Amino acid sequence: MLERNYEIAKINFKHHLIGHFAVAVLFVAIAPLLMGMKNLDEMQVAKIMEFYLGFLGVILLVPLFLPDTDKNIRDLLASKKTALTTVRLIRLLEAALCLLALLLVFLYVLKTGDCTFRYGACLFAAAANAVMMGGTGLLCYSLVDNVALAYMIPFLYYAMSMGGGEKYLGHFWLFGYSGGGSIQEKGWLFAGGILLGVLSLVIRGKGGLCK
Amino acid sequence: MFLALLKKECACYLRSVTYFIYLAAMILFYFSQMGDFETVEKPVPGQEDYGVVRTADKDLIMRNKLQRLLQEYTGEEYTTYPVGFYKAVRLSDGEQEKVKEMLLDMTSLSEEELEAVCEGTADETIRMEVRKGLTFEEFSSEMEKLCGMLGAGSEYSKEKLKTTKVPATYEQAAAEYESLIKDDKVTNAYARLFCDYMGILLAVLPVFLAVTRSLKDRKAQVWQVVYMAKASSKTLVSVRFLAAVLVTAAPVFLLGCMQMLQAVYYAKSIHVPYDLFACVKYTGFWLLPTILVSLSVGFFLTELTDSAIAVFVQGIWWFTSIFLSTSDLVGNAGWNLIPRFNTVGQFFVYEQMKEQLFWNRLVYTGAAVLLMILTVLVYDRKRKGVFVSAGTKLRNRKN
Repeated sequence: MLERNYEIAKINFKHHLIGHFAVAVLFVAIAPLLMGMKNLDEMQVAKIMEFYLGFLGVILLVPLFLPDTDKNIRDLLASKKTALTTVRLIRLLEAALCLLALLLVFLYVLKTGDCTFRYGACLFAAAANAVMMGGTGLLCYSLVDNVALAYMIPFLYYAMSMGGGEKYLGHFWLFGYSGGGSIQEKGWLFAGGILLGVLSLVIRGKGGLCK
Repeated sequence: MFLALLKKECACYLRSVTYFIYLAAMILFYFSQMGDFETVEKPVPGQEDYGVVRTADKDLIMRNKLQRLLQEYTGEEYTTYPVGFYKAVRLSDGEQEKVKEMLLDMTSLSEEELEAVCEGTADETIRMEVRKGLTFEEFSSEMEKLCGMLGAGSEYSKEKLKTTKVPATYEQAAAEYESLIKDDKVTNAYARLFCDYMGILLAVLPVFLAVTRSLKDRKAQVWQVVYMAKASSKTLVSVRFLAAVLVTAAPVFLLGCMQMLQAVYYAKSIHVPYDLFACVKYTGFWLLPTILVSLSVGFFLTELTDSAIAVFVQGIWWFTSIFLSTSDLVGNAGWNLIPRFNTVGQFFVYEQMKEQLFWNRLVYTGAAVLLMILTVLVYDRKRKGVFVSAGTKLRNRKN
């Protein structure tokens, strides 16, 4: 069982996730060209975490259903012993691990650059944004089976958060921590993102709106 | 045939979920940002505060920038915002020495006075003034050298040397108000604000429409049927593009008209002339090139790769464009895809940026046309089986 799951994860990484992971690595790698990585205080680090690294969730989590976009492939996968939802769950966990790894590395680089911040708080701020942005895209993908639209929704969410979103989005405002709020409020985003992810798996398992 | 195809394509867009979400996003964004129509009050003598105005007074610009430079030199840290994020630049000893020479050359400070300022032992009698006889050209040339050391996004870039902010006097505030009435005819000022806000979304949302449309044929597996159609590749691609431009621009024009109705009503209420076509002029000139670029990037990259990579490309472009202009939201054009003018009025700032804005828009329109020509070429090659998609070239070529 474990061996089979490992094989699924390995094949998914090799044939599907690797491209997205490469884009995510590139996205993280160009950060030092765009912003300062040294001597930052907690709020400046939080701004980078919320405004920049949140996009990692879109890059890594949203394409979850991309390998089985084609109905024929979906039908083939459904005929296998391992349930399709299990396969998707493995893909999701793999993408989440990649996300976590990139965030940890990024924060480590900031630490070595004499930035003063709370490691856990900033990691959570970035992860919450990434999970929430990814979750909105995933839910949309599961509903309408349209990858472009799945990417569009997190962009809109981000744009709404920028354009005075605090007033309209309340606890689900993406930039609350760097905007002076508490890290506890990020719990809403994190929980919301997880919920959307689970919902999307359930909806996709039932075939979505476009069967 | 062209018109019939155009009608079909438009209908195809109008039925798609992506388009409904695009519409909803535009409407929501419009009402959240410009829902409350804010009028400009005529200043009256004796007011406590007249706000701030931008001035192109070169002496003031030189004084403000040199004061800031002195502050950053003494702190040995220079603030820059390469793409909107804070970046502290520390110069090497040699470069610090060059900045010191600049300060000594351009200000009234002697070496001893500058050292005293650095050590914090300077008394109140020491005041930094711009050296007499310093021309703006000399100053600009030195600032250019400084920017070379600091990198992008510093306070001393060419763009930042055009104007500076100063507390407004009654006379300045009254002149600003007069300019809003006379030069902008009220409506033009509101049209610029509209373009500023809507440009933010239009630099990214149309790409989703283009990607959805381009991937649709492949997903529905009807691309072979379309490839067999009688119409030429040029016709098929240009119809698809034109339809996308029409359906994307139509709600923008309508929302612009709504904004204009309010501006016209306001102009009428204060009995001043207005420009009824301000919205059409500005939307066409300012926003249409943004729409064209976003769509053409979507069509070209999706046709080339059969993937949604255009979303990432346009997304990163959008992200950098947005954050590049965060430090200056009024009169910021340069080569940015999203020119900013987040204020009502300030006609003279607009006059200053107009030429740059014109070239900016022209270049982006040209780039969009070029991308669409390339899309036709790629599409044509695919139809002929020469080029299937990236990585599978020459697979279907007939002998």
